[in-house]
Amino acid sequence: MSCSLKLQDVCISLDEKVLFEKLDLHVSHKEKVAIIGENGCGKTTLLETIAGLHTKQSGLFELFHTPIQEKKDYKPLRDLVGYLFQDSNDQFLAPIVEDDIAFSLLARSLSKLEAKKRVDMILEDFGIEHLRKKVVYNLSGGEKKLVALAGVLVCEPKLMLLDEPTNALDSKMQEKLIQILSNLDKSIIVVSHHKEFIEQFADTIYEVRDKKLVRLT
Amino acid sequence: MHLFKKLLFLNIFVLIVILSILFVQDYDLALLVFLRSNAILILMLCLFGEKDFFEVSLGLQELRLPRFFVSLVFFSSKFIYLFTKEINKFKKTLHVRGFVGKTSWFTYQTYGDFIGMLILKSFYNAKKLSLALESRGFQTQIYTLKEPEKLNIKEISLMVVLLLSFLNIGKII
Repeated sequence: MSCSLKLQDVCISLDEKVLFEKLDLHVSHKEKVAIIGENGCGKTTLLETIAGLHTKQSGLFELFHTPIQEKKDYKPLRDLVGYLFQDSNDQFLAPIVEDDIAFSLLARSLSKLEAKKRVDMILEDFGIEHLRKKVVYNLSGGEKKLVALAGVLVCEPKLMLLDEPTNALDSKMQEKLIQILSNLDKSIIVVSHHKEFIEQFADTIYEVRDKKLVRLT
Repeated sequence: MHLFKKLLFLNIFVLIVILSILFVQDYDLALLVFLRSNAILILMLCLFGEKDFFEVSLGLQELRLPRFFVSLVFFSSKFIYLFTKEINKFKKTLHVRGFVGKTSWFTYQTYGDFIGMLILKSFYNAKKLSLALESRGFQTQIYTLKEPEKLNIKEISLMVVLLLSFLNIGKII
């Protein structure tokens, strides 16, 4: 099976603190991977590194068979990776729901007409058409998460990185999110503390232990 | 009515300036400052008073102002909005935790801590914003699905009035 992501002997540090040493992670095409671990063990920094927002110290980092050494190597692959922030407020770049979802499409020079079509489709798929004209910062936690996820999914990335997607969601919203994510035909890496969600969703589960990833299932 | 309230509020600052001029008994200058500042305020309120920052930023973009400047206005407004929410949340927390503002070190320290927290949060927010811009493919431009609005008769009239008044001011000067 082809590999979406390959990390081998990777070392990651943040503010001079070493978070991962000789880390190995392989994510196959359309595989759904979950990463769990204690607070502050570096799960978010790992996702940021895979998203090209943080640079690794050493080791092999391959994304869709392309080796990434520096940030500039990541540029042509940027459109293939979608990153859902832990706090949705950090992710929003436009104040109105439909404008925020369309942001990355318009930034990729898609016509307004095409962008609007795709926004309409995703709003309908998520069942959040009624939020279209709302101000993103005034939405509830669950609604914000869905809008942020719609903003990522609308670009049709091949690899999705989700940082605590079920955070602050009630059980109804969680079910909706699981349903949406389970139907996606993409490689997904999710960082979460939510055991039930992970068990339902992930093909493979890793735990961060002693600055490494240990495979649990 | 909303704009009138805003104008009244802004006139508090104008009055402070005028009072300081009145101290040196320059009545003509005080009158001139009052009229000019109010003319500027009314113009600004008419142009921007009822618009949110996003619309103003898009307007600036349509006027072909530098992208860097427009982005700066837009993202500053985002943080002002979030800060306002943060302040309201802080007020509620103080209320819930039984805080009563007094003339005491504890009160000053509490407010000081809050300002410090806001500064730290602004560093954090700036960092997160740069990550969001990078991950979502930001190209120094603000995007919207809205089509640019066409000039209507009201706006054309305002433009003519403004142009005439500028010409008139030019003649007086």
